[in-house]
Amino acid sequence: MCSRRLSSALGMALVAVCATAHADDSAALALSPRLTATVTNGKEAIEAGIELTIGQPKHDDGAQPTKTDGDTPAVEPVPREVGRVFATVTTPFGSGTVVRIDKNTSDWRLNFGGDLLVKARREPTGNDDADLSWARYGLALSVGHAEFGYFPGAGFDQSTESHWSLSGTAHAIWVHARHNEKWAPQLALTYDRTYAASGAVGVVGPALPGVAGLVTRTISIAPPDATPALVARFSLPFALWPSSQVLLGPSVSHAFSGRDRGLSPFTGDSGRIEGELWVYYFPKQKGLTNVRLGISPFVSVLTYGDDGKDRTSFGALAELRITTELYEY
Amino acid sequence: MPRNLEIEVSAAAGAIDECVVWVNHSLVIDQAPTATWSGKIPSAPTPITVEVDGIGTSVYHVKIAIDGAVITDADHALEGGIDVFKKTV
Repeated sequence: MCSRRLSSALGMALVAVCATAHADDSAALALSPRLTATVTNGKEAIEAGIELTIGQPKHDDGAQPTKTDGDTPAVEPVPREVGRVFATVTTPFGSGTVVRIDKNTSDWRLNFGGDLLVKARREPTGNDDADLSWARYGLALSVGHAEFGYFPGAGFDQSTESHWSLSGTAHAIWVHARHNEKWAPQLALTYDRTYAASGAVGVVGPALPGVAGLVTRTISIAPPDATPALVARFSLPFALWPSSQVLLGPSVSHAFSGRDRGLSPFTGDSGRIEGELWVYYFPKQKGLTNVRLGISPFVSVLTYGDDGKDRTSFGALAELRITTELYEY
Repeated sequence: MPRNLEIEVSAAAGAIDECVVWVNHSLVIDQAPTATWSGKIPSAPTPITVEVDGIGTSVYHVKIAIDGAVITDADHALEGGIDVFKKTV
């Protein structure tokens, strides 16, 4: 199991492309398209929809700055709050489950949620007192529907079941952006109850005289399962070398997993803690922002119960993320 | 007599996270990854402050024009992930 996890993780690549184009800069409500493409080791999904930004400051043509108190900088910080709500649909164009840091996706999903961005702005006198820090708090919900086929008892009659899956994430990020200082502690709490097809097994036909039995079919013979899970994650990306294009991102998470088809993740089935150490590289390019390449080793340790996997597993993760979106770090 | 001011901040090379522009000590725009603003300013000398946040030594571009005449049109590099550019027009 460890080697399977290792080879799978080593082959994992995540590509997320988010495009956001604000439709009207001068409006307090800005409606924008939202597009995300995710690819992980042959398991792909596209997320498309709209987002609405609320509270973006107006800056109409002809506006005149009102503060005219000579050369005296503003002393008090200017609080800034901007809201964002979004609704999208996720559909896979490959097969299987796409696993991301903040959610799992299987078949089509309807996603909706919102963020609140809080900034404190003060006009700087120079680089040393510049402060472009901000915080973001958000909720995201995701529901999806999938149909599963399986062959009970390895027979020839196929049974099908349809199920709704759901997940929800609450997250918070605090970005400290000052001269020679950038770090962004973040918390995410995700509840996920996603149905997944049972693993396919080989069905061996009867042996004939002088001929051993052969695998005639590889099929699912059990109904799909749904393990309720609660995942708490803390990450801390930071710039160890502020003049380089590299950030380090240690991250630790713990997953509590409950019984199959239950609702509570705390029924004691199993728990697992995972540590990652991301190295992010932001290549220089023109026009887009937040192009991010990442690679991380990971170690995962079973903390209680039995989830059918090795007690300790390890491997590596890789990520490519491209976004022009405002709030993602 | 009021003058027309146009400001354009864009990413030239690298990861630019946010652009903030102050005109006459008022915050007029705070946007990512690029920012443009146009408006009227007094005839008296008017300070402009541009703050840009990004990764490492990314490069951004600032263009400022008054009544259609370009005052500055140049690249600037972030130092330690942040840079402040000031100009009085």
